[in-house]
Amino acid sequence: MSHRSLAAIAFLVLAAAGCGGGAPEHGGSTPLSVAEALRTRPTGVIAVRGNAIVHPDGSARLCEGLAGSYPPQCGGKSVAVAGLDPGALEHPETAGGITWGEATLRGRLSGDVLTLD
Amino acid sequence: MSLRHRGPTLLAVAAVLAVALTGTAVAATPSSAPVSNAAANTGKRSAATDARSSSVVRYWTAERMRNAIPIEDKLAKPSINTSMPASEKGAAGRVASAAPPALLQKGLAQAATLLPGSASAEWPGSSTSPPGSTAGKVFFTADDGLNYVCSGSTVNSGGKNVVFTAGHCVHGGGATRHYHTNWAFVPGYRDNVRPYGTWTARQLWTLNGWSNSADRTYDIGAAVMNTDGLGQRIVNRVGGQGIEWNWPLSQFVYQFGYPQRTPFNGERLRYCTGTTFSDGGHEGINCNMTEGASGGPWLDDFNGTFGWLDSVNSWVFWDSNGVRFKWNGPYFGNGAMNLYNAVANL
Repeated sequence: MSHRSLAAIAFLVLAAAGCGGGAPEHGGSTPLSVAEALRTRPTGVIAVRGNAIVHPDGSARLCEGLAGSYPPQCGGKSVAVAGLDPGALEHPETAGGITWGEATLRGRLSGDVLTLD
Repeated sequence: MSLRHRGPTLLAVAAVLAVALTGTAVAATPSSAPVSNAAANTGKRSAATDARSSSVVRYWTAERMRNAIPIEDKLAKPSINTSMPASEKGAAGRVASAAPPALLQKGLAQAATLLPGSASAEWPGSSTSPPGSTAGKVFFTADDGLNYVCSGSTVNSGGKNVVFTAGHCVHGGGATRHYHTNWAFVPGYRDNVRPYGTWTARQLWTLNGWSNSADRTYDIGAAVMNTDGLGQRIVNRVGGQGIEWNWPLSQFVYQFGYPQRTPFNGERLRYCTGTTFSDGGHEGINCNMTEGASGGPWLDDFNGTFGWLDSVNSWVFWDSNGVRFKWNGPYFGNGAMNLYNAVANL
């Protein structure tokens, strides 16, 4: 097969892959990591798992990891979370006004804000 | 005009110049000695007795170290403008440790023979001899107005005034965040006793990859410290660990920190030992230390007193029961070298 034919096939495959358009959807049972969610930006309701940090004023972020100061800080990529109930956290802990723990959250991602469903 | 009054832009330029001027001098072969240029720093240091420094010392009372109320304080905020990833490797380099004569009289040759592995143990040595004196607790106020605790270690340099820690212990991480304030280091901390007092920083530094993007590959921080009330530099008081970069990722290290989350209380220096491994490209070590240990040093070729800083505690991981079992630290590559070179002679 010639190089020209291979290039034509590659073009057709890429074009077909692009026909769907838009961001991928992710509503499956396997949650995305925060980094995956920010990279793929699925439409619709998605499940995202990460480390949640809740501040005294109620503002919260879901973070890729946990930077190990005390209390911990948000580590790596993160999204703001609107409407997070600290009761949704796994093994929640509170110190110095910060509440933290792991969480799998379902909501819609817009910009860097995850609005819970 | 002291350096801390200059604008961040000028400091950033100074940082770039420092990298350019010293980059090849220190990034040499193993066992290379630090470049000593103390005379050039004399006019730039800020006395710890100035009003701002004193206010930070007064701020961190024993009570506030446990439950603090934030106040406002501003530090100079340079960061390193490096175009190469921190993980990018170049020539291996090392800078040797240093011990002041007063500490050398305390039996520094005593090697640590206890190897706790991943179940951390309390450091059995004195808090007034390295590494008990070079390690310490870091206290700061973040831009959310809350007070936090980390760990850190002095590192030998020409300026004899540098503390290394994690990037998130000097800056919140990401373009919308800021450098921390009220930054203080207490070397040799033990049961709320501060054998060398509370030291304040005149400059905080991190890599752009951390301050711009919160990329943990770059989660390395450094503080250039003020002198104490007698005009002495911190490394000349407590000693300073060595530092290395571009060494193989897998090393047998002693990992130190002040874990504060339960089951620990942050009052005593603890350590784990183990061989580091690649964990998604970051350095990993199995250890049960908890939050508060961040910034604590990972010392390679540790002889019971000194070693070479090979990474710092960055991220903590736990199992399904919430038990902390692993830490990640940034690989010390060219980014760590650039950071060290930028602060070494300030």
